[in-house]
Amino acid sequence: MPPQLKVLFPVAVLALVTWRTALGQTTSAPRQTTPIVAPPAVPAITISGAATGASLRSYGPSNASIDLGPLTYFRGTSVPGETSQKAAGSMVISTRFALRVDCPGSSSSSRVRLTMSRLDATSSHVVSIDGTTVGFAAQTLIPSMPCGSAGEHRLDVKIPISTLAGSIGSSVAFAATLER
Amino acid sequence: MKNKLILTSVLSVFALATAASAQTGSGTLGVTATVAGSINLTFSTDASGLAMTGTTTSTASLPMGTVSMYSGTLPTNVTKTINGITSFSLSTPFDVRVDLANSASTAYTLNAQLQTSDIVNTWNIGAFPLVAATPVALTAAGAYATAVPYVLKITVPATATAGTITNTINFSAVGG
Repeated sequence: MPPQLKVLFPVAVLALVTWRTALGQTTSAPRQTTPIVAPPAVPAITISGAATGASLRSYGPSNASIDLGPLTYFRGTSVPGETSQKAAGSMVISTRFALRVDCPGSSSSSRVRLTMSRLDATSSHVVSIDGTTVGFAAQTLIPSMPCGSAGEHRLDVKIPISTLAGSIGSSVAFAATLER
Repeated sequence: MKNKLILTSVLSVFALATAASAQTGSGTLGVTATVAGSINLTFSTDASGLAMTGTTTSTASLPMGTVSMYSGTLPTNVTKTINGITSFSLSTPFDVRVDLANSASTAYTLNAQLQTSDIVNTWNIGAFPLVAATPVALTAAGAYATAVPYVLKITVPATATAGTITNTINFSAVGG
């Protein structure tokens, strides 16, 4: 077989499968339907405030933000739902939020793997969730959680005293992948 | 060879099918905060000074007990100086430490001011007499994160009536 065919052959097989499928869709012939199982929809993540956490602003079903408010190293925070701790050379502001994952079109026993990653490259502070520092590479937050379930998580933001006064900000991305 | 190609093709189809079925949903949480610079002043007992109450806090006191011009005992690390027959002075060192966070300031000015005017006794910190009317700058080049000793001296005239002497000195550190 010529080398060109070696490359084209898998494509041809794929095309053939598609063509045969298309042939089966003619309107004149008696239709013989095959049950098709619709693929499950994409899992939906809902981020919301926790009962004991800071207030959270929602920007749609999957996007939200928490404003930790004004902070000082020596006085901490006065925002309800937040706590502050002084560590060596830094302060840690903590609050809680909730994550819910729904899996429309999936069975009730379906589960997802929840990962998190940081989208910004700001070095002025460190963001941790449930004690794990959020990095730029995706990390597992929950290895396996049932679809339709929710849970609270602790958010810690560590700010060194060397960070100059001003606004800081970060974005944390969550991804829920349906387990097969 | 032919079988190998067919196998490759089938695997390609399966790979495409598998990739298509990996369902992932996403969400994003934004976190914002406003960090303000802050400064903190604490008092502490000097190695050669009278034991403070409230040491390492910003509200402390120096209890000198009962003293008299010509007799009696003094608390540890309190020095009495008799100025002829006109007055006597009590002095003791204490430490002031100023810490800074989230600021580019490199030095601070330390001010001190009597809370209540005292027309009988004289209050000094180092060479600076303290008054209630205006704050006095003890230094304009204070180094952060260092305990700096200052000496408090109270001069009591011999003509003053026996009784309790009490006052408050308000300190403020201003980052420069």
